[in-house]
Amino acid sequence: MFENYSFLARYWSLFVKGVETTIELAVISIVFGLILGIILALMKRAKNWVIAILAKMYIGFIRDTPLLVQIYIVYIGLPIVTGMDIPDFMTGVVALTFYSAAYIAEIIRSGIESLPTGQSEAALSLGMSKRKVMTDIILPQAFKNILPALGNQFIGNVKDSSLVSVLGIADLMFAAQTVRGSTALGLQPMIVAALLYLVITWLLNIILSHIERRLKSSDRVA
Amino acid sequence: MIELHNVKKSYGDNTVLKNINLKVNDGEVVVIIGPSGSGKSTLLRQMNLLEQPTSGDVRVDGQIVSGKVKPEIVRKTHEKIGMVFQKFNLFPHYTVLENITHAPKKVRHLDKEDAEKLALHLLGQIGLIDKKDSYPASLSGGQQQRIAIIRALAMQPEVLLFDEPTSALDPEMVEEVLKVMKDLAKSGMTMVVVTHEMGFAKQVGDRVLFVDDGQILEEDTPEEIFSHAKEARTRSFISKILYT
Repeated sequence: MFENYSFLARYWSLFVKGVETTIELAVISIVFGLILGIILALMKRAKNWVIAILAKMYIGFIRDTPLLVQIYIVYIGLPIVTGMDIPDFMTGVVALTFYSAAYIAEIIRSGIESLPTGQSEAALSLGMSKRKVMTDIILPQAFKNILPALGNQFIGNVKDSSLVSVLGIADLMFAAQTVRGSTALGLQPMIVAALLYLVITWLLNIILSHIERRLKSSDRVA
Repeated sequence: MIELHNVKKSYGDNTVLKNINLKVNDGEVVVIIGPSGSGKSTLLRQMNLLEQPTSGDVRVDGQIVSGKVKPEIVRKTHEKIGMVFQKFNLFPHYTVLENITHAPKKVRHLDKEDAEKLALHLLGQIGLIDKKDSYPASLSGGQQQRIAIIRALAMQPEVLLFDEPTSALDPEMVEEVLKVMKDLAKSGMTMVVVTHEMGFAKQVGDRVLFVDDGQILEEDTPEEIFSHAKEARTRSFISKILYT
């Protein structure tokens, strides 16, 4: 377990590429997941029950089926639905976006509902439109409250992205598998991958807690 | 100005307002008193449509604004009728200045300079200019409530509604808020105030309504209602708030 790491000299660049791809997957999918998640959260709160039920069904489907199954559904279904040849990386991004959006929608909904109703009443009573109340008053406060949960989701995206390696996307997991294949080493490449995942999530944790602290302090500072 | 016609409000089986008819005239200061749970806050919230009546209608300047009307009419009504809440409801993520200027900029489309000039003028009147860059969480309840009042004023509303504006305050801060409200009343502002502050009602109130069990049981001038109320329920309630 602690020896035979000489393969790194030859294959390190594969791992670096893998780390890059993993981070790209996680970042792009969290950004689009956030956008889709906000839309889903608002749909679920809509007065129109058809819209609300659609959002509920979507969120239920994503949360109650395995990500690996969803990845295959997107992989096979997306070219059929769009009639286009979709690059594997894009397929991975779409699958991870669809997946994380459902969880983010629930996080945002709880963030909106945790705000006192007085906030939207005060904003409405100033003559603001419902849309402005949402974008200017509710969402910024909700976002601040849910930042820790969103951070966890982001870290979840980093880890979950390892599953898209089944599509042949050259992420960190794929790099480890490739090295395993060409060196006949069993455990070592996986340990390298695990350590690299750890470093990524550890760094993310540091950045996120830093942002959280800064946002918290803005509530108090005179 | 504001008229309620046969307004009823119920939540499921629970009837909160039975049959309210009320007219608030321009420049008038109306004080609403009543036991907790009597429906007085709900009554106030009908006036700016934070809650819709179950039946009956609300008219502002003669126009029906309740029921199935365009959202824009409801929004316009909000713009005309400002509201001050028991719990202040300042926006915690904005500074004091942003709290005051946000709606004037976004709703009345004032440019930043004009909105800030107006805000600073109002802050000057309540002696809190030095707090303009503070966040609400760093202010006392009395300061927050005074800022909430001028935040509503910055929209230049035709009427201001107050929902128990001093009930959530420490006793020593009640006066500073009442003073701002009294000054406003004297300046001719149309106000509807749910409060148990007798002194305020007596000094600036034109009319006092006693609300009990979802109805306006009695209404009269402050002098009459506080010393010679006709209804036994009113007298009993007033003796309780006077001697506790």
